[in-house]
Amino acid sequence: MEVLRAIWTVALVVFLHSLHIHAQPIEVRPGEVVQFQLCFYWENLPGQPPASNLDVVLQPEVFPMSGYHWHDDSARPKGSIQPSSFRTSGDGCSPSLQFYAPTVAGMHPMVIYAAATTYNQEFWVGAWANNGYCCVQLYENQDLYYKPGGAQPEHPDWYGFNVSVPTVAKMQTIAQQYRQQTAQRLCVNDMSLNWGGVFDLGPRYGGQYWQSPHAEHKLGLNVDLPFSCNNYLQTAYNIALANGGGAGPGGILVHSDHYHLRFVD
Amino acid sequence: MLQTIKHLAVGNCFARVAVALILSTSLMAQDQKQSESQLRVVPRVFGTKQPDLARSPNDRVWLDEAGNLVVEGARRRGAEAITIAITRRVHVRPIVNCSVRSGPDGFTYEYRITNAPDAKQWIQIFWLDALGPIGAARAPEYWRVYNIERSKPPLERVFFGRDALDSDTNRRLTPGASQDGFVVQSQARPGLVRLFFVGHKPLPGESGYIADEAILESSEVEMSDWLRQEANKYLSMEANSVVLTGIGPKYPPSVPAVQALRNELLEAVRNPVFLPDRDAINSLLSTGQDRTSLQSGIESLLKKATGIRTELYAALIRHY
Repeated sequence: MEVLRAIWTVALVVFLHSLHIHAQPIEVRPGEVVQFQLCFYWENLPGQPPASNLDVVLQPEVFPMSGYHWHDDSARPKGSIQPSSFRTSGDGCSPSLQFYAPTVAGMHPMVIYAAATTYNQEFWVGAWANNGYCCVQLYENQDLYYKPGGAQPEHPDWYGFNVSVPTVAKMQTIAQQYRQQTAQRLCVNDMSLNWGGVFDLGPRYGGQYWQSPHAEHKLGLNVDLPFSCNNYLQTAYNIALANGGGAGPGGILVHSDHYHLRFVD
Repeated sequence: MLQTIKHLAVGNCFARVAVALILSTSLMAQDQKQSESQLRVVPRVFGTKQPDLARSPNDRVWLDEAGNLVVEGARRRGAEAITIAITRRVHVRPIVNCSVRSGPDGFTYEYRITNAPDAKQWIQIFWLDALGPIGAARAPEYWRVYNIERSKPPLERVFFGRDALDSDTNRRLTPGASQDGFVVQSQARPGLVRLFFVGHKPLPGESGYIADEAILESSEVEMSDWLRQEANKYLSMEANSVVLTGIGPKYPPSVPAVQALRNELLEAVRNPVFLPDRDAINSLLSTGQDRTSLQSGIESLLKKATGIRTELYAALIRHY
């Protein structure tokens, strides 16, 4: 499996390098909307005049396995573009366009059909977009450990133990204080995937790919504290609340088997 | 069986790589076309925004008479509409008494907290929003200073919470109970500050536990993003607590006394608790321009005051 993954990685890198990218990828957070415009110019004509009255069609696609999802199927959301077809105006530009990023993180080429040719503009959908703080791994240490189990091949490499940079510091403080007060390590599990976005667990855990068992856990701002491996629940609640774990919308949510912490960056 | 699964997995992965390579070749061919093209495409990004949240016609969120949250418009996956009722942490009835002492190291604020007998929850954690720098804080036995949060200066937020085994009931602020010994030390002089009190909701395994909040995030329940966002507003940290006005560190020593006194009177005017004194305070603000005249007027207010009004007026006379 590791060999195949390496082959796949090499193939993907070769593929990406082979594409002629006309501009930097446009970054957007999962579920957000990018407002943009495309302008077309006749490159081979003197003065590179604008390509006015040009009929253009746009089609969003998705690179398989991108966004730290090592699984793929046809149901993977591609996002949408509105309007998806237009005629350029006198200045060679499109009307205002909007790319509705899917809530799943990933790399999305937008195929541009114009003048009987295809062009490509990429959108990268990740919680780190536009200088966002997500996501880095929250490491285990003497104060904190991951609830055993849960690793899965679809999202490998400590798939779900990533949070935003400010959340790392807050969680370390919470875990340190919990250990000082209880002499026990704080037990944590589901956070965010490496690129953020929908945290899907798939059929192995009774769910569906591309759909989340977690309505949140998309931006590295959520951490779960399971009840089964934390013995001092009131203490954990108080420490978390006092250190930013309830600062996000909705505060600390009490599930039947875990606390769901909500941070803000 | 295990061997079969392994073979299937390997086959599946080879198939994926093959599909990817075919796709790569196809797109490379397209790229070849691009290089011959006469068009140059220039993207211009205007910015990103949050999408407009979808709202269903039946979506409603409100607080019932008891202050609990009611959410209408959600449905069990593919089935009937449900109404979600969520008990909030606002069923505490805190009463705050504060004494302020000045000393060589600044001011010592000592709080006595009472949870009135008609409360339905015990107080699990509370915090005070000071506006002056806090030097230290301490809590009585079975309680703890959980944090002094300084991330939003000049606001400094001191958290006092229970510090005991979940089952330990010693010194719990149950309905009818009082506890003193919550102390904050600061160089800042006193003024009106806010205190937030959070009630305890039973956890799984405790009697009275209801899995009400969990429904909001359940994969079995569908609701619009608008509905979830509205529900979250009522459950956020500050909204899901009882907020009281009390006395606490407010003005660093650098703030002129007259400015602080006038600010406090202005703040009192817009606080409902000070309604009986509103006209007198307005009159005092229009005439009192120096410390002596302001404090003289506040002396008059103090004679008829009770509760927090007494605490504020006394502090404004003694510590400015």
